[in-house]
Amino acid sequence: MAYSEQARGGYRRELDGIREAGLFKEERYIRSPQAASIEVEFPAGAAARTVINFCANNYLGLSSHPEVVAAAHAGLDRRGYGLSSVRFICGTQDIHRELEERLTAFLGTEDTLLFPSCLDANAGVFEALLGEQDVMIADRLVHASIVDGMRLCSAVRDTYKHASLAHLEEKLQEHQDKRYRLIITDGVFSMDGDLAPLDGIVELADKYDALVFVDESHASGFIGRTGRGTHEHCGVLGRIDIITTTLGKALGGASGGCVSGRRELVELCRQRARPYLFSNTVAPVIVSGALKVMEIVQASTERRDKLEANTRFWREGLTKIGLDIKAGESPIVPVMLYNAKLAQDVARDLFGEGIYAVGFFFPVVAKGQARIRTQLSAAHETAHLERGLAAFEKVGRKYGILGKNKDEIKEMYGA
Amino acid sequence: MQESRSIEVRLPAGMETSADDLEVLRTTFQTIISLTRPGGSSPCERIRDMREQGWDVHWGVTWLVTARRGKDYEESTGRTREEAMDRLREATCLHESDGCP
Repeated sequence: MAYSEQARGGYRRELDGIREAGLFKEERYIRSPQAASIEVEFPAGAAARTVINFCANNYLGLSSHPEVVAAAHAGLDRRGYGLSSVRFICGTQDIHRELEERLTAFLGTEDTLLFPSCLDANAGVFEALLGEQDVMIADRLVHASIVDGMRLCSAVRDTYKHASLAHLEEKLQEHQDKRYRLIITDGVFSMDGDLAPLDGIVELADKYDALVFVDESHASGFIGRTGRGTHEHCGVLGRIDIITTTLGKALGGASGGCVSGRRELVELCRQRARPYLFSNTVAPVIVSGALKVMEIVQASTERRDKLEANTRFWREGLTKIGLDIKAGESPIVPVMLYNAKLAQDVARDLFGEGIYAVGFFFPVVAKGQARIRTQLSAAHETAHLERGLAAFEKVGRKYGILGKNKDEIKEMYGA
Repeated sequence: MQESRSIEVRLPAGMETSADDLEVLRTTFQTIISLTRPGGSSPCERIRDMREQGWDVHWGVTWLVTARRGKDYEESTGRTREEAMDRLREATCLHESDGCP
């Protein structure tokens, strides 16, 4: 079929609708490596300016770490640029297996399988392991890729209220007639930065004979005493049946993800998971860099400890200047503004002050829950944080929101 | 090709019917017509072909419920309307938010 004027017009109208709804996403061109301080060209064509980055998932500051970059260069030289194959034909090098074994040891599981991304891991894992006689019971705020993966699976789909163990228990009781029950949650939720109550979830799983799945993308490398994840933080290492996580955030920030867990479950993913079977292998350069990342992360908790200290400093600072933040302990620190336009205005003014942070609003978060999501990094120095706090204070004062609570902000700006 | 025909059913004067009631009536008659057509109550050729290809095919009358909100769409089936609605509700719960990257 030709791309007719009618089709072109239809798609243009759809794009116009996205713009009118204030949901149009624009890319900002970064002209430097990922770091605490970056060169950004925005709007397109404007002169690049240096801003402090508070919106990267570069939690451990390893995205441009010289040792990681050097390891990636060496891997490129030794194993080439691409493999032109899926894993099971001729796309598995010794370093792929080596990385899987390193991840298994780090996550405290039995086996691991690499995927091109964690989105791919989540898209493939449920369909590979469950059938129509089974049930998936997911926290209602799990990542979009989990929702997509659940849609691709023929098992019954059900949900429980966010982080509610009581509601989860009801659901587990309701589904006792199913062959397998799989509880699905994020370890750290990307919107609020809160942690799943994994200890309680594992207890319920034991009581009602269920499996537990956790997406650790916003946790691997820094949550828990040695950074192994939410399961370490909650004292349930070795008791999570399936973990998915990414190499695209704290663990180097490039790309790639994995399914890690019980040996048989991982092997079934190797046999059946379609994104693994039909998608190219993770490039050797990424694998080489990730191996160095694992070495750094397992050698010392220095970076994870610095991130923790930065997070504490940032949370205390924002609270002291009178901003309304979501309580918690993760380096995802949402500054609550409730109103979508206010969130966009504050983000724009912060950018003017040299601070790069992004406003999120419906449908990314629930209606009336607009916020600026700030993310800390071990790459941030105290001077970066102090400058960020000064900018938030200046912009917050301009909009009269310092010292105001949720109801007062809503009264001033609407929800 | 034969023209399709429709039948009109007169309802008693004063009888109040909701849109749901009318949908039930329409579906009931449609079911009767489907079952009384030649081959309607026994596996048709298409089902036989699928079975030959190894599919275990079952057919039956069921409830279909749908929900649409902007670009979000969900549909569910159930042996009863309540069952279908419960499944639809479960499916729509996954749209609570899009989630951050």
